[in-house]
Amino acid sequence: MFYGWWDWRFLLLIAFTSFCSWGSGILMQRVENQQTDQSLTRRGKLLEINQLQRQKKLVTTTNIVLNLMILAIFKYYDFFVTEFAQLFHISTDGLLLKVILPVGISFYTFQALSYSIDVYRGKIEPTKDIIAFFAFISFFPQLVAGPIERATNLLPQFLKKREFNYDAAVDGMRQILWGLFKKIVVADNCAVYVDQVFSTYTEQTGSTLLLAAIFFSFQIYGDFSGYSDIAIGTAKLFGIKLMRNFNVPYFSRDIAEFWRRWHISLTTWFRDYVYIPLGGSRVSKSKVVRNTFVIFLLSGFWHGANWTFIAWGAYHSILFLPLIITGKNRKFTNQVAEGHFLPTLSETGQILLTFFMAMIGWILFRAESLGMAWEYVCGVFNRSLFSMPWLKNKETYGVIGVSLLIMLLMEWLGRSKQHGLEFLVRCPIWLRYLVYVMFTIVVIRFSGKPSAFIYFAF
Amino acid sequence: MKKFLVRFSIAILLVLIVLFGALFFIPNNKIPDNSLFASLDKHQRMESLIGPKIVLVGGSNWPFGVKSAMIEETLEMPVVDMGLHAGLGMNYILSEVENDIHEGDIVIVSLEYHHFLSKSMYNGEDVLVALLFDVNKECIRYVKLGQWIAMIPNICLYASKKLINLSSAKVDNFEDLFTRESFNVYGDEVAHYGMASTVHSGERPALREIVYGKSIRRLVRFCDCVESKGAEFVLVASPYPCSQYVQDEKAIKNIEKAVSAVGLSFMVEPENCLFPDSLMFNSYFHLSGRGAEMRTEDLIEVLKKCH
Repeated sequence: MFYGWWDWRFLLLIAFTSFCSWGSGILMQRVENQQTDQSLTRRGKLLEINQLQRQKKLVTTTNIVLNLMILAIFKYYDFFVTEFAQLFHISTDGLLLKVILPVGISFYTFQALSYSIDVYRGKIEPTKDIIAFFAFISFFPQLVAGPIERATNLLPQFLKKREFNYDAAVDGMRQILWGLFKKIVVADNCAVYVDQVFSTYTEQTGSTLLLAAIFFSFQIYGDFSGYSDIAIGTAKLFGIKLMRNFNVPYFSRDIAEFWRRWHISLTTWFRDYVYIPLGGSRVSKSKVVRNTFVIFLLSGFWHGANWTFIAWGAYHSILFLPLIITGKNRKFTNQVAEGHFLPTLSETGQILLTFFMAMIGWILFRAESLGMAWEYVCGVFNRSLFSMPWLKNKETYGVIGVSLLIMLLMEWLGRSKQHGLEFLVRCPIWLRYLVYVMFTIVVIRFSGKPSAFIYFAF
Repeated sequence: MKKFLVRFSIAILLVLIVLFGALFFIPNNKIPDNSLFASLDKHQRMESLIGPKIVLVGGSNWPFGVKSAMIEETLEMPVVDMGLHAGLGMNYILSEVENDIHEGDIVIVSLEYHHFLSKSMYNGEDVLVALLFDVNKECIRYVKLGQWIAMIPNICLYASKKLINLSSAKVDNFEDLFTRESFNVYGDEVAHYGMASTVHSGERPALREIVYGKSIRRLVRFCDCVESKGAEFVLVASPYPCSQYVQDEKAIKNIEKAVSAVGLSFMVEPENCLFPDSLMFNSYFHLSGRGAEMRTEDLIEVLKKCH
């Protein structure tokens, strides 16, 4: 219902993806259950097991290829055709498909692939329950923009009887409210300024461009992590526990920590299904460097068929390299300023530097072309950087400033918690209700002109 | 589950209490003199006219696109221009005049095209909430339960804007360029006569092409109501710039088709109500003084032919 409401035709696509992945699990189970012939010699039995393993691999590979083909056709076909046509000066007339990208295709395809691979690896038993499996792929809160769930976490939750949990439901509502605040108040207000500056970037001063880049960094965080909070909170109401997708990434002390805290479900997906199978970090340094490049480039490409996303991935892999080479990529695995109210001066510097590096990456991410990104960055670093930035109006600044302050303050105070309003659990009831009412009214106040979630485009 | 639902309802109730408190008890200082107050004058004129009259019903395309005095002089019938703002919504615009229509009246309806295409323009936007709660509470009687339900998001938004009132942000989206005094005795807007056109072609997105079915049914009900009182119903197109018509022709044709499918027709068809950009004022439905004069001349000709 939820997915078909937008365009029923794409239901066929998600049904096909789901059916292929479910079917691959069933086929693998059948192969697994084939009895080895007892009359065979030990060598014969080994050969037969190898044969069965090959059959399982064939089933998994076929499913992966099918799913990736669908993704490639809808998401990347036109991009590649256009690029090749430009390279060889060929006309694209009649070659382009010009199809609409189905919402959430990148998310549910990856979720379906994780199931197939996990069944092949023996991490999870294939399910015969087609309803539960289809619910796992198309669970509405996280269907269109994640978190990209693993079958090992989500599927068993659909197979057992769920009971209403008061504490989880209340916490879910709080998380939804916090997500709405981040999306509607923080992200959508930042978007007004960002859109205006990015569309006229050639006319803006360095300070304005820098401010818009900072605002975009918070816009994309508020937008995407806000959606994740809404999805996770909604799932809690149904007694489903989804994985965490963001863990205060802008308080990271280096870029490796940033990637452990940003879009966790995608990062860990690439880690488990691409990085580790390539050898991970237990191979030679040159191969680790190669593996790092591979996952970052893939991650960039996953976001969309545009060179800017690929460049964004490459940029982050370059930032990652020094940490990989010096073996310091796991230096910060604890929470910043653990046990302290404020960070140290050195931690503050590290946080600001990491934010700055991520922000430059966001310019690549937001720009429409590499040329635009380059011009934008060059536009930031000139004399006009020290001029007064363009002020849209006092209110815009006031709203963005105050909302950012509230978001950062609450996330800082609750950095060891799951979301910004979790601290309310221990507050007196009057304070809890006061916060609920205030946040709800603020959300309603700024809900007049909502903008679409950025990650719906991926 | 019960405990959760009870506590959730308490939270919602608290939010509603605060919002409704703001709605009723916080004055809207932004609109003491804005053109929404012209609604009071228009209703007063409508009620004061005795005997057959010409009633102009629609959005702002009327006050910004007609010279009622010319009609009154030529046809020798008093005219009241009830048009004010398209954002009041088609349902309200039609409802507010129904009670004051009497035998012998000529009711000329000219709705903006958006009224036929979108649910929000059918039910009314935040302007309607501002009108009902801060301008003329008596008009609340024109809004029925179904419309109240459809307006809940707008009411909450409007109340929250009164509560968190940013100094330069408007509480409603009605342009504050025009005040109650900008309207003449008939209800036409006259302050903009002589001002330069600010409409530029290609600035607006195309109209959506699917007609909102409820709007057509409402128009039929209104027509039936008018005719049952012995008054005459006349439907005319609203003014539109030629440059924009090229882009929106399909949507407008769809409206014409939907209207004719229920047995109604435009006495002044959309193609005959197109104006060059130079005769438009600040919106695609607003004419300059000269444009309003030309439209009025055309309208008079059509009305003469009908009678």
